[in-house]
Amino acid sequence: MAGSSIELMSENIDRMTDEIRIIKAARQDPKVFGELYKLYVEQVFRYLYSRIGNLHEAEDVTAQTFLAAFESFDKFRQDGHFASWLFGIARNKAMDHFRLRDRSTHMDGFSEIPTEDNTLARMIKTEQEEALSTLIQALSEEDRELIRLRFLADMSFPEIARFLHRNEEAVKKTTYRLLARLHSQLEVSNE
Amino acid sequence: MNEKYSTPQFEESIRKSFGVPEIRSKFVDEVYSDLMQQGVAKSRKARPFLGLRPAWTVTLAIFSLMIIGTLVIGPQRVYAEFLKLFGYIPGVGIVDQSSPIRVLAEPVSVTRDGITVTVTSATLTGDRTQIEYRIFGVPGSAYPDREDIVGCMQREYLLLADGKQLAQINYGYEPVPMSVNEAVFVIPCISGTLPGKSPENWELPLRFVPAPPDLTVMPVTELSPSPQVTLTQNATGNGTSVPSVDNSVTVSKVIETSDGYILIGSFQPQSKPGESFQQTGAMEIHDASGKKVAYTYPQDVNEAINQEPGGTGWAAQFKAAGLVYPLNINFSGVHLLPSASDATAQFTFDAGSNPQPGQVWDLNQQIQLDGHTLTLVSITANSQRSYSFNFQVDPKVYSVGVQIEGFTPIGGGGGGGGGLTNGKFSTSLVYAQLPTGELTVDIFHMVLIGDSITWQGQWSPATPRTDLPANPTLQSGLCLTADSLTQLQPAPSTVANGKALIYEKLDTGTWGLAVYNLDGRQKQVVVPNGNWGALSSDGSQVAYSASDNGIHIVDLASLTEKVLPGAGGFNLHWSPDGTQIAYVGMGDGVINSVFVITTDGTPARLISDLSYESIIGWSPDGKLYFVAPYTGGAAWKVYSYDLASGTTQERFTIENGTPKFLNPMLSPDGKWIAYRGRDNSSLYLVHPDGSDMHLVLDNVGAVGIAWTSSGWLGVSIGTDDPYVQKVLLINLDTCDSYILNGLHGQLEGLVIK
Repeated sequence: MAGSSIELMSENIDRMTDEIRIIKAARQDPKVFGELYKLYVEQVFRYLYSRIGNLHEAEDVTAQTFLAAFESFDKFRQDGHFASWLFGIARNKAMDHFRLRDRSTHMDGFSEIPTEDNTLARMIKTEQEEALSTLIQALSEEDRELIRLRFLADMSFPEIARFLHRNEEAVKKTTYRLLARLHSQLEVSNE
Repeated sequence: MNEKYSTPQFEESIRKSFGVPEIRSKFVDEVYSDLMQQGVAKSRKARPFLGLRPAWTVTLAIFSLMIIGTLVIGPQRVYAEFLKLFGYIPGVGIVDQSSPIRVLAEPVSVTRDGITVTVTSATLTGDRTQIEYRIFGVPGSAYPDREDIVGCMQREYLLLADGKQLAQINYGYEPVPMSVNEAVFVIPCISGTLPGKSPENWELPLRFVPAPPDLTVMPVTELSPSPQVTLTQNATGNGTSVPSVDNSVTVSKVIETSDGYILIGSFQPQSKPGESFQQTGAMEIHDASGKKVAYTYPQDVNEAINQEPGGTGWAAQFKAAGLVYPLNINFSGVHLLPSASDATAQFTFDAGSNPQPGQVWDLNQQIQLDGHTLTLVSITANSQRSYSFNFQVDPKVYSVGVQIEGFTPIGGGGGGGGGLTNGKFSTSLVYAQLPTGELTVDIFHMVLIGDSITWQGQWSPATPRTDLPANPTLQSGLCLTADSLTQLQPAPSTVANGKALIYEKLDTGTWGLAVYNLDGRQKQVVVPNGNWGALSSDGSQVAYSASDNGIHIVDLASLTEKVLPGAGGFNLHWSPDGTQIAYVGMGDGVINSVFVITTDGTPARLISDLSYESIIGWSPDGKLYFVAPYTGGAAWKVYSYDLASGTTQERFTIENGTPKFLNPMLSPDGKWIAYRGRDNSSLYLVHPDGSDMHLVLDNVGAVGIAWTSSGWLGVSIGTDDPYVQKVLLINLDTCDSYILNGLHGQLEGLVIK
């Protein structure tokens, strides 16, 4: 068969315009939840991998996230904020995962940038990316989470603000300040 | 001020610095399959033996015993013994019968702070422990008032006297040892609640006894080798067919139920290297006379389905009366072929210096590619820093690749469909920063739709059933079955005289609400972008839930619209006199609870705070009926609220409704409540006092429900096209039923003059 039946079946939709329609349809036919899954699976996986740092465990927690979301979907009502709700589950699942692994260093949600020797997962990084990786590891967990949500989970500023219970403008300013800081630190490290 | 550092290149470097690998398409498919097939699965657990699930460990052990047994006592006796090892218990699934089955001695309830947890049943087999429990009375204040805050997600478990904990496995809990007849069911916290907001550490002492002799355990027959199967390829357009032997569709297990069968099998298209297929429809079953067999998906055999090779299992439960064998089990699809040439096309469009989310460029650009005509209808800028390219193509084209020269996308979707979806498909490209200005777009890698294919499996029972009538009479009160839908006649004009409120995809492409005459004429788009519509009983006004969650009212004569101040919610129900609207909303520390507001805008009044309720409707004697769900069990408690006295009365519990979208609707005369059944397809009726509950529409795909004051029940039912529904009218006194051929969406309101 073709590489991915999901990909082939996928009706390519604008996430924001059709999401509410899909959510309503999914309430009536649980199988339509699969459309939401297709919309978000990559972002959730990227977010979780960045926290967990292991391909198979990130996949496992991604699967758990969507199964939990599927189970509790009938209780989800605020149709305009699906991403915040879903990533809330993903974050909790990641925490559960760390608890189960009894890795106390991760109990506060901290996770190092992935460095595992996994041929499937390993990516070739440029010098700049390696340097960035080191700089991001040095950030506070709060700042690192912001980076993850913005650039791996692909969340908009309003979604991040809702997810973190913070003011949208403050989130935006913090993000840009972080970028500026990383940028300047990178320049220093390259000198 | 620091936005200058947010360049696409820098953002991309940040992404790459995390070293996140590409998601594996196989994983994506597997989870998708899980979601579709095992909605109740909880989480993936470590597999204890040779990477196998516990049930497979048992199975492997049994096969080992069979081999040894075959050598010792001969194949016939071993096979007969083997069949006895697995049984099917409705609601539980396929279980190992190698050890005696035990059940819960009696239901156990514990009440704390007004919250009651009840373990209603338990089934203990050699491979797992199935526990059914329900919770009622959790106050709304125990849940987060913002749904992006996630409450407790700790799992419950069984605690044995020796301190051992039996955790959840995929389908239940780990098995309780045969020597143990007591355990404590522990719920660390109620799912979804905030810490300290409801009692925690619930402990319910359970006692187990041998299953009674009348426990229904149906034999499971394993088929090996699988039955004869064929593949039919139809060359598109010329009608020729080339049957050949194929093993794509197999049947591996058969369960004989009281009125038919459950079949479990797999669908794995046999393909040559480089071949691609696209499945184009759901599985269909026909009997030897050509009659389409209506089936349901039995949720309780998920584990067996997931054990089918390649995760491609299927299952179907159907009634067998009157069927002619063999049954043909069909999956349909098409070949997908890359275009023979590497033809490409190119055009430019000006996105401007500052494209905005939602901005649309209507291009209608004609593109010729390798002899095929493609029209790029429009390009849309989306809020996710992406462009969507919307195509209309000829029926032979499935998809094309798109790229913007000089810009590397960070994601996107490979759109496809084309000739399979009325010639329309879209492809999206996501960028770190949206490309701007004059853009050059390349069109390439066209994929064409090839021959259609039908993968077919066949099955016949080993011995004919003699216990089923050839022409069974419908049970009392049952008006329509899936089989009888095809015989429905169009509604006569004497009946189809009124209005319907329909939720559908509008010509603009958005989903909204439209009012139609019942013959489908005089369409009036009332809400271009909104949902949860409700038509007032006189048909003059529509209330709906807007995208900002506000409640709006549209006057159909003038199309003027007003907003009810301070009200926000969904599941709207007009009072009979049109002066009040009941809805489910949030506020005052409650979440998804029942409110009533007068249409003149006086402040909304909280009616109930039980959380996650649904409104049933208003009775003529001034009561508002609603349901509240049990947590952890597919049951709903029905209440009535007397608006004059402000008193609430508990009525009865709906035990057979769907947990997903019950959609209960009270008839205007207050005599019946209609609701969707556990199978998400059937429709039941019950009196408001809980009496005379009965099936009225069996497995028809019921979704939308609306009553008329003249006694008609309107129901919209799903079709193979997920965007299209059919609307039916049923007279419950006579079971006279009609189809309204001019209506094609979800029924949200109905008035018949």
